[in-house]
Amino acid sequence: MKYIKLKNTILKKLPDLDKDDFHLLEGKLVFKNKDKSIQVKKLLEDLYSLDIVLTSTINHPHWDNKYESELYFNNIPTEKTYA
Amino acid sequence: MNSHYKRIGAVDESQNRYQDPSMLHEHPYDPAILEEVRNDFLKKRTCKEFIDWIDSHPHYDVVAEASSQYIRGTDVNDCFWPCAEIETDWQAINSHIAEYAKEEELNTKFNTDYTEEWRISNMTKQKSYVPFRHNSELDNQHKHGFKKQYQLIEVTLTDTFLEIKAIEDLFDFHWAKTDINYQPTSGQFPRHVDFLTTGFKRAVEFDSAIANAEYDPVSKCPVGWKMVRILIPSDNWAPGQLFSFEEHSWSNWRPGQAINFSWAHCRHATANSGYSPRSIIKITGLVKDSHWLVKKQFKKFTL
Repeated sequence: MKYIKLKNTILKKLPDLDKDDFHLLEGKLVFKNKDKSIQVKKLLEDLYSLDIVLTSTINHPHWDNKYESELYFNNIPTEKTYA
Repeated sequence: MNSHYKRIGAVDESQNRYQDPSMLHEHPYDPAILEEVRNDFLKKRTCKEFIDWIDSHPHYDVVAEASSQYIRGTDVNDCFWPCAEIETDWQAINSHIAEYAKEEELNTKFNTDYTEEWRISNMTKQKSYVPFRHNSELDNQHKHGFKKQYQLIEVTLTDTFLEIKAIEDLFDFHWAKTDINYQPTSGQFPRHVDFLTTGFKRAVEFDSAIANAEYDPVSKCPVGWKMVRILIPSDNWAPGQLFSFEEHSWSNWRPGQAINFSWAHCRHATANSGYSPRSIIKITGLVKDSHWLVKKQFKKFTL
């Protein structure tokens, strides 16, 4: 599964989330707000039975925004398409 | 082809998201900037428009990073997978490569600390190929201490390795381009994703159907086509030779065991921390969506 597809699924299922609430960084989803990452974690666990790790984010001085938490996954469903 | 050479020097600064030059190539990239660049990358373009856009972009390295939609936890079989086994006289091929490497002093004068081209070749046809590495990507690598990556030995455009050209023919690629990716000991190529622009630019330049085809920013290919890169070890894996695809690793390979991989999304990196040079044949080209490689089929060949 690719990021844009995953992001669109999340935004569709959780309408109170905004597209700028989380971004992709090196394969992980980084969130500005920890509560929202918990919401997404629960959604994806229910939807895809994903094994998900939630950690805090190391923020860097050259970033414009602050991020509180991040999610990474261990068992993304296999793709049917070639890309 | 000359027009592409000119565009390489033509940087479109309006695409520069960095107000402070000291932030250039600073890892990890700002997630918000990546998102902004990704949204730009996802805009509808023809292949020609895409090549023009990326050639003039001031930060190829950021575009490359943004173009990857890889999610950590992706199954290994979506990162790299066996696609073919080729039985041939690999011992003779390796002797030929070793002899060439000795003549060209690839091991003893291993130096890629220059920007335009690392391709080992002295043939005139090379001039019709654009440099395959964008300077901002090299700047980024140099900044992080990666100054010796690998040596590319030309195959397609010379008659030096006819036996490897015969292997190229097995895959029925359009715009096929083959090199030997020869990594002497101590070579390191850091994590990256590809655009396969060397062959792609030639296709765009010489085939108007491809130039005018829509560019699919998810597959990073012309719509209706797939760009494929096959990796074929010419020799047995030696301990210390590292090839990673994000959290997965390729190892213990044998000559002729070809793999296909997600060059567009899965960042990959190599290092030769062993004491033997490592050579991998790299064949790149375009195929139609009906090609057996796109269907993820496996084939055995004997030459």
